[in-house]
Amino acid sequence: MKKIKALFFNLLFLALPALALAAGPGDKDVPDMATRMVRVEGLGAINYFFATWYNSNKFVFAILVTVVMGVVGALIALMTDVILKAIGMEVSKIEHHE
Amino acid sequence: MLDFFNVYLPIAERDFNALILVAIGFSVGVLGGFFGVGGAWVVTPALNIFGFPMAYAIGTDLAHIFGKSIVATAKHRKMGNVDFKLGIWSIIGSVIGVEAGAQSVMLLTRLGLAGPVVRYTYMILLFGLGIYMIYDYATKEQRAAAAAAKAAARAAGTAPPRKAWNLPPMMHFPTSGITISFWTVMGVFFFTGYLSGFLGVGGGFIRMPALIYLIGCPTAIAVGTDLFSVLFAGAYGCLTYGIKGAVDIVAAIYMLVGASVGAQLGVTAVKYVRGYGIRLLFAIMIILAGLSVALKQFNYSVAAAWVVMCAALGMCVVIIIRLYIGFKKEQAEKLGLGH
Repeated sequence: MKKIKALFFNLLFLALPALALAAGPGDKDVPDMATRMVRVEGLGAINYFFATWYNSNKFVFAILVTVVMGVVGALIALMTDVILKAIGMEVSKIEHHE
Repeated sequence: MLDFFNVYLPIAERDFNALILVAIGFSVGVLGGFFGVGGAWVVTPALNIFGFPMAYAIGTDLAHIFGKSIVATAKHRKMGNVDFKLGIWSIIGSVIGVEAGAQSVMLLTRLGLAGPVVRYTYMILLFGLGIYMIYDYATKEQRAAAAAAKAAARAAGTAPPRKAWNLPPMMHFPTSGITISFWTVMGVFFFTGYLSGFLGVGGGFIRMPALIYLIGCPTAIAVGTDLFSVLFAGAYGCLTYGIKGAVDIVAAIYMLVGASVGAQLGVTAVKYVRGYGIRLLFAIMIILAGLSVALKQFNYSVAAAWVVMCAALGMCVVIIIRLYIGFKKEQAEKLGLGH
């Protein structure tokens, strides 16, 4: 009996998200600038690089943004870590006190 | 004078002060590392105050949140504060919840009720959560005493064991040290995801207290695990807003420089502040954020943005002071042991 009850509740809860999603896909109020072009004349090398990809292929631009964010974040973290270690502010596993 | 720091943003096609971008990134980095949140609720109004083009604000913010979350999650992992298994379940539950929340907003939009309902829900949630966390902080001694008395009574065989929700399958999370029903885990993350989709926010500030109060995580693990989830939300946001052409990558890099340094300091501060201390500061922060939303609802948009920005800066100062005091104390103890 206990197993049947557990099975019933499992099936019921599994169905809940499907019911919640039944109305169709959601939509966010995001300004769509997919066809927008930016000016590239007179830009420096880095800005020119980003602006050119922005104009030519938004998908590659998006990948570029994601990769750059990850790499820059990791590099700065590495540098800050070295500096913090040098001043004695390094971290290791901590005890969890409430 | 500060024009010296102006840089050209190639996607937004305008000049903007790099110092402001780095400073905003730094403040939100400290808050994010310390509380385990993305901080979009601070960044967007702050950028708004300084005249950043709003069409790019959300995308640029999400892009820098992704980079910052990598930094903060890596550091929290080092401190043993990330429950990866729980984090992955939180992502699965939240994705379903976010979509369901977005559906509800669409329904309300069709009924012409979305704006006020979402804002009032946001206010009630922020104030309610903040007040509850302060109450929880204020009564922690009494509750600890009551729990000890109950445990003693159970040991003596005079009180029945506490009834727990334990519908199988049960899940064990060794890092957090909890065993809990799969349905509780999914229910909680579906609910936090739903609120996140409904309110149109990243949801870190909802998930962090949910991990503490509904799942039962230690505070520091809740912070680290939440950041792990924010990392994925940020990556998805970064990519999708990038495809829509709504990210200014140069502005995002400047913000990320500040945020990465800030996040390192914020995470390190977790080492020196006890769980309840983090909860109290978080409660104060979200009450002030609630005040900001209330001001916005009554058309005081500029005041609302200033409130949230000043609250963020103030909290940032408090966290750095706590970090400094903790660090100095630790150094003194080390020196004392050395002699």
